[in-house]
Amino acid sequence: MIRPGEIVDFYVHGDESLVLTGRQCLRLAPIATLIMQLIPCSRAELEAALVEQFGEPPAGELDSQLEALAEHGLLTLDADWGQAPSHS
Amino acid sequence: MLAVHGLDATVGVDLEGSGLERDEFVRLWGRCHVEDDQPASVVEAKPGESMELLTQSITRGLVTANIGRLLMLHAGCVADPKSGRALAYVAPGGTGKSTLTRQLGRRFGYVTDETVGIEPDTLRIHPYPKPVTLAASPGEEKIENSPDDLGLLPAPESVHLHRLVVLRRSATVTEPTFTDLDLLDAVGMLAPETSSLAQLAKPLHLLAQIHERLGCTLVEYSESADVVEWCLAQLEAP
Repeated sequence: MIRPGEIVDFYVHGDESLVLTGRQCLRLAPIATLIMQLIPCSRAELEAALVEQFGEPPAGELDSQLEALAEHGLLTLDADWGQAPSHS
Repeated sequence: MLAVHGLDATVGVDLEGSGLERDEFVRLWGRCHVEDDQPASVVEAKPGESMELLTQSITRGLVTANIGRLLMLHAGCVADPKSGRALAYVAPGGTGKSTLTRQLGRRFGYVTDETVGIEPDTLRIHPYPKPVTLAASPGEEKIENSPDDLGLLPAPESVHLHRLVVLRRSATVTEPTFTDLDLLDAVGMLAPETSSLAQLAKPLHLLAQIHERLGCTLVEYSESADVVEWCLAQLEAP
């Protein structure tokens, strides 16, 4: 699962946004904004929504986006966040 | 005891053992000086401490007293003596707030050169007319100056935010520019120039509401004299 981090406030304007943590205020581009609007959710759910909105991303782009947002404390990634869903 | 009132709070000031003189303190802080025998907190001046460092401690004390209550912008501010309409100019420390304040405050009431405390619901401003921190001449060490000595007009009794400006001073700017900021640019520039913003309820939404009501202009300049008339016009316009 991908979950929100310690967010003080999140303000969406058009397809961009600002997010305030206890440390900083960051401006988010459309893809990051949509990610923040969708979580908490699974990586698969996130990917499906982003593909529907923005089309197929270059390989690895979603993961690097998520890792960058996690580095800023905007979201947290569970240990198994990057694994493909099991189909049993 | 000796105390300072500003930003809708009062802190006691203990000069004992510091070497700072009470009469000089009262002269510099005349517009904020009160006597209070039971202040909620006390700032103790350290031995050998300068008046400038003491001012910083007092400001921190007043800001702390208003955490979660007032929106506190790192800004200078002047207000129209009749209407109480105020212009707040937001800028990082050491980038021209006090210099501009000295020029604007001779035509409009001096509210502060450091921290503007705003009630979120009403946009009422609580003045903090502290000593103005300026160098006697360029390159010299900054010292505290009495607002009276600088000829600054008193703040009106009731002050409310009317116009909001972000200042950017750069020696490379030849002609000042005045750019209306869109909402995200404005909030993104204002948020870092605040104290304890995260302690307010929905702080980004609050800054966005203020932008929607008043707008926000980016002023890029090199000499404060070049933007004085524009600033004054912001309060004189209907």
